Amino acid sequence: MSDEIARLSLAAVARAIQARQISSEEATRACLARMQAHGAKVAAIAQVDPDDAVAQARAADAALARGDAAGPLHGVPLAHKDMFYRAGRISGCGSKIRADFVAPETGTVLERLDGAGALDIARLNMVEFALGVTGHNEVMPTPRNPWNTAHITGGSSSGSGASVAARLVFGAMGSDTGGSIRFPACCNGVVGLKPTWSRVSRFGAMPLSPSLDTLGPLARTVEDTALMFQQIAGHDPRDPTSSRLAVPDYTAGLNGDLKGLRVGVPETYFYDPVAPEVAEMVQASLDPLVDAGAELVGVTIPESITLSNPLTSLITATEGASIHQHWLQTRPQDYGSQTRARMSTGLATPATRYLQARDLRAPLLAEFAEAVFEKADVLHCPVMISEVPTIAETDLAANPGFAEMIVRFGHCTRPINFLGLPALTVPCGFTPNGLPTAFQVVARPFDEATMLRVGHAYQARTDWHERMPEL
Amino acid sequence: MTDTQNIAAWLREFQAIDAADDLSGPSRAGSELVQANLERLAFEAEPSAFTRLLHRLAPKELSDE
Repeated sequence: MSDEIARLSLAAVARAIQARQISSEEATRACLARMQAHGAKVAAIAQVDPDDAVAQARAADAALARGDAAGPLHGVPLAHKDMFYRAGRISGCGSKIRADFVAPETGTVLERLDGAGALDIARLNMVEFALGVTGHNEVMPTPRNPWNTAHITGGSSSGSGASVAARLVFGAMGSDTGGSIRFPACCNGVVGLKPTWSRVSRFGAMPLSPSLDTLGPLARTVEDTALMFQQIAGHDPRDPTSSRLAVPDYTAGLNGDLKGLRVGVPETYFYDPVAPEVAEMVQASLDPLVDAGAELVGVTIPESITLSNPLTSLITATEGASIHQHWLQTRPQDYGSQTRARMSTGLATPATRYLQARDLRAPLLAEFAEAVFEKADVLHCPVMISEVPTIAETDLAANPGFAEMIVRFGHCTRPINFLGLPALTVPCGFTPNGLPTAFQVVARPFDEATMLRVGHAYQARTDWHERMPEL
Repeated sequence: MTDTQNIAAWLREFQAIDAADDLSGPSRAGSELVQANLERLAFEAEPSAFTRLLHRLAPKELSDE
């Protein structure tokens, strides 16, 4: 029974708890049992307190019995990347430096998930300070891909991707500065949503590069992702950079129908470095969208997009260096060598260059929007340029030439951060090495509803999201 | 010594990083690209231009809360 519960989607388990077909305690014990059985193998969990998790679940069950359901996620066990602050609890940020940091207050995202009734049962491992796309962490455990533990999980929300795929929890929050939600979603065969910059409050979450940082959910299905996203989107007075635009009903359009929707297919840029075995699967994922009524439209991506990957590197390194300079000077030995090196390079960026790089975002977004969104409602493109590699292949210390490859990994994801746009990663099959791959849907700013509609229509016609790794 | 040279010296001495080596590549490449694209920057560029454009491109039915 326990594994049957763990196999349910977040939406299904939420409905079952509300209908009192299962209890929150049963759902939580199912997650804890899988953590006990498989947690060490995937190394996704930074900390779990089973007694506290069960206590939270019992409180949720008691509230439901009184008729006090808190919200749509009532009693559903979740866990989050270890950079979301909860008052009185450690948020280690995947680092030695913050290993003992006890958050003084709870961040907005966790408060909103709490308000919707969700449980928070574990802290999840992550890349050190969220700086890295492969999932490697030199100073804390590196999570392993549940589909094949010799392979990377992708990062930096490495534990979030691995724990959702391994059915350790029903959903998890991550962060995305250059692809850190979408890479692990792709590598682990789950759905990941990177919101429009400013759609979700960052208050009470570790910053990496505030101009680019976004927070979003990873879950098994698009519907699950929409349910989580619904709770966290919207203005927050504690983060004045968060948008005041109204939040629509993200589940309203999840009807499987794409009639009249124009899906842009890039004729330039995105596929350039993509391996044929990945490109083939991503292109095949267009068929179910056409079946749902979508019209495919060829789109020429403006050449200026080639600037956005390196400029994302510049902005991230510079803002990261600004935040970390004190520790870089006083505790350099406590950083992993790659994190220290990448952060430190930002110290040498002239202020004028940094400001000019940021100011280029508006003209580049205008060019991209004109080229893409005047012809199409969404853009469909790859996430990764290759099959999911092994941990050994991507260990930079052992493969010096791989540093350049890591930069190329961001080919499809980093431009989206630079432009501030929302994107949704949806699993679309397995490449010849047996690991998952995915496509991403990019929408105009604040139009997460449309990209969720596209992803859901795809999942209504496919079953990749129902497959589960054998552990 | 300029500020940049000072920082480069600090990186060499305390971080064992040569600002001209591979690790600096992405930042350095970005800097060169900015130089090559200065003509794209409007004289009137100001910090909210990007955020304003994001909101202008949002679906029309999403008015402010």
